[in-house]
Amino acid sequence: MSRVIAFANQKGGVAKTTTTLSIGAALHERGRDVLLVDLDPQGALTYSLGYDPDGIEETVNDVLVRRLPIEKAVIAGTPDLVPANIDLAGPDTVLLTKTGREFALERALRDVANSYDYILIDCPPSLGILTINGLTAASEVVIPLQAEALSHRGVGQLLETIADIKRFTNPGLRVSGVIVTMFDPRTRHAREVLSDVSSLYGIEVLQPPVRKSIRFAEASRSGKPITEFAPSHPGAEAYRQLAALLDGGRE
Amino acid sequence: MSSRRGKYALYTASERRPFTCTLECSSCLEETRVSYVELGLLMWPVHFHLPLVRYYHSWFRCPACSRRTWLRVHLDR
Repeated sequence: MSRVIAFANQKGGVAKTTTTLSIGAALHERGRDVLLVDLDPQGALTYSLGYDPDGIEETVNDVLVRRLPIEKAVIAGTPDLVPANIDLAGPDTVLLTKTGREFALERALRDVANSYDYILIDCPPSLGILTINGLTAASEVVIPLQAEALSHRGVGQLLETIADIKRFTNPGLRVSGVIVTMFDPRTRHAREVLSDVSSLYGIEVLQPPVRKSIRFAEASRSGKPITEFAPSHPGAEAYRQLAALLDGGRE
Repeated sequence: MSSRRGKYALYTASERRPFTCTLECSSCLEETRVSYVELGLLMWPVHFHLPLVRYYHSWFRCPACSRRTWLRVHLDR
């Protein structure tokens, strides 16, 4: 049975996609079978793996709206991907009128639950129906967080949504922790925000933090995860350590 | 208060009414809300239950596609 992890934070630009991709690639390096699910209409995860989102025929949108079996939308690769593009802006309105709309992704993932060790979901930067689908399908959630005050505020809102999810759709959902991204250890502000997050919300801050680097943007542009683009870069090493931490309970 | 209502509108549970449940169909994959009375009528005159064997554990008529097929009854939605 797969471990399904959603990477969620309604604030944009906190490196959700980079974190999902890098953790997925690092888990793949560890010999795990990994499926990445792009749940963001901007298709950034799809683009970061070297695909043109607009040139893809079958996407997660077809899975959610047309009930296409998810295996038909999977692009085999290292790791495998269920892609997304701007068509995914539609399900917000299409699903909203349907009973059981929160369970569309969970239903779809049931078909591949035994084919992968990990299914990682890149949630969009909002708290709408797509994020709710991601969190309903997941067994755990990881919160990528940029160490600055506005991100910090978003954590409170996200935790409220997670409480709603546990109440209405997925009582078993647990918060695995926060991954600090774009960390600049030279600033006191970054260190203060980190200490606030763990003390205010009681969430584990997964170590190590991932430092800011232009190499991540360059990796996305090249269509490769950082672990492949710059294998010895400190950012790649940080994500390997985080993947090992998440993978800790498994052989 | 209104923003709270807006937020909860995202959840099927916000539409829950007393003495209703939802049915998830294995054939058309639709989920439909029915009252307990409607559920009884859909199960009439014959139905089967295999609760521990199958995810879609009950065999009767789906209100969405009208087929006699396997469905899952969600009493908590």
